[in-house]
Amino acid sequence: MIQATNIKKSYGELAVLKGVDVNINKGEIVSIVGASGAGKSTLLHILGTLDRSDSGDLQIADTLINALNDKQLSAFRNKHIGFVFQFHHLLPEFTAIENVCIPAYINGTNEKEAQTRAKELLTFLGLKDRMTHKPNQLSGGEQQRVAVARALINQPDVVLADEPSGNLDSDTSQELHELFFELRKQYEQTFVIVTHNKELAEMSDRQLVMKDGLIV
Amino acid sequence: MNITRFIARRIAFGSGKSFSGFILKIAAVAVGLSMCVMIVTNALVSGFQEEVSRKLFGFMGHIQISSFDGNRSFEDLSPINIKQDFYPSLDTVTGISRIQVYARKPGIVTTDTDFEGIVLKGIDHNFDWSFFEQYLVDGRALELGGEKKANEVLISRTTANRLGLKVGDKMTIRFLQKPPRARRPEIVGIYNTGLEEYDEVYALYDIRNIRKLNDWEEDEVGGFEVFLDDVRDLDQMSEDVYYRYVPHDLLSRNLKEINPNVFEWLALQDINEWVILVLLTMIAIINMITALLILILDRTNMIGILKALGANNWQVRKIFLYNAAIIIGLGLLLGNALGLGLCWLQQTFEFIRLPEDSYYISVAPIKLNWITIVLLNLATMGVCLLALMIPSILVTRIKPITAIRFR
Repeated sequence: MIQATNIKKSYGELAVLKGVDVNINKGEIVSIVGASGAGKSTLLHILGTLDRSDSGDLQIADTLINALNDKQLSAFRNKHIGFVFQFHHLLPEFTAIENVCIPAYINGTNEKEAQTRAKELLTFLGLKDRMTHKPNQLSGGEQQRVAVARALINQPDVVLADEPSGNLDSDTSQELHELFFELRKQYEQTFVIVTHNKELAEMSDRQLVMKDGLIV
Repeated sequence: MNITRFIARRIAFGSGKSFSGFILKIAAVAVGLSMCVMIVTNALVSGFQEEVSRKLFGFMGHIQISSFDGNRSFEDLSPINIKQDFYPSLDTVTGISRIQVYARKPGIVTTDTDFEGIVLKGIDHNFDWSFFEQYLVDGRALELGGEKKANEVLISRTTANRLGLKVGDKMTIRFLQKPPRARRPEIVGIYNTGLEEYDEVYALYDIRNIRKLNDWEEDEVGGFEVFLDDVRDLDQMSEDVYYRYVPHDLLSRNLKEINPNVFEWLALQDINEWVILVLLTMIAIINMITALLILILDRTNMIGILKALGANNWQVRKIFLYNAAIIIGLGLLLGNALGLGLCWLQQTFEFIRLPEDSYYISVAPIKLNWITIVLLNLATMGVCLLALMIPSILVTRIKPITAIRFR
């Protein structure tokens, strides 16, 4: 699914990634763990095509990312990658279902089709009664689940999550984590999760431990 | 689903933060005020041009046909015969509403204490009074239908005031010729068109008196005045009249050729109007650029999220341009309402007044050109959006990771 070889990235003098190799298989849930500043988020951004590496090859779903221009990259990201961030990053003016539909609309999906799929996802995530609520009317856990639905709307090859439960209490975190496994079971969804949460890391299929810009 | 419209509509007036929302409202108001002033300017300038030229043409006709003697004075020295192929059938030509005769003769009006040079414009019973009747301030029009020459004169308020004359008075007019002659007609009416240069000169008189004074034949006149249906045909119709209807020994000239200064002065107003329109459009653009930058900076986070979700730069830029279009549109609505409202107020209550002796009219006239107003709206929208293409590039500089890292 994802093959990254010898990924390097520096910010000015500071080398953040010093030649990282990552291989993620379809349906896998992989967590990336490590101390703050180890380069976990940077790696995730590069895997998510939000940032470009200085060198190294990245292939996602048989597409060579380095060969894409900005516009192609946007379209690729839209269709193939879903994101869940530490903060939900939902758009405050839009209801839950509208937020979920936005990636589908960007992709040009028609309204009816997008909404059907969004309803399906929100129902699956236990938000059937919260669809028309705006983000500020939802609890932290609900907001994060809406964000998960948004990440899934275009049926991406991989969902990348950056500290998805970093802002949630332990019970809600637990629920969210279980959801990831539920989704893997149901849809064979691939997840790459950056986390400080030990339980989540231990639940995952594999842990990639990062230290000083390398996977150890 | 049109993502651009979907998002742009929802976020039109800022994120609810009162400050940026306030600035966006100011931008809309600024666009509105610009539009308002543009509409009022256009209505005033066109109204002014139309009203002044309507007066000029009403006074003198659109085209004058006279003898080919090169005379440019106020006196018609070479009479021409009224029996012409074009008279009176010229008024049946499409675009021509009327043809009437005239003969001018200068004279000196004397009173016990004063004297004043005037030009008597002789007219006959076919004269169309509709123009002068509008500007009659006292008395009545001349009655020229009788068998006998009417010993009546219609003078302007300017002349009346200068010489202290009023309706009912007899007025002594002396004519410098050999032998000198004088007439003493009764003043039956006083007019005031506001065309000061004409008012202070002309008085209307029975053409038969002019013929007699000049020893002309019964069928001789000084010239013909031709009136058109539509002033926009002036150039075309003057050519037509000259080449197709008027014989070679007669000259036909339109009023623009006879009196180019006034028409150039009127045309000059167009330049004023353009300067105002361009300045106001620039004001609208600058305001909208500010508004757009505020919109974008206010929405850095949203831009980052949309990009992370796979929206490309152009899609995001379109959201903001659409958004700007909403603000411009609201501004234009406001501006049209305000501008048209002001025009209506001016038309109804005439609160903007002009010194008539400098501008020929006493009230600033309003003429609404609906096509021009529509074009002004479209052009403002179009030019603003085109100009906003450049600052909207700012969107491409916002990187998703910097925008989403913090909230």
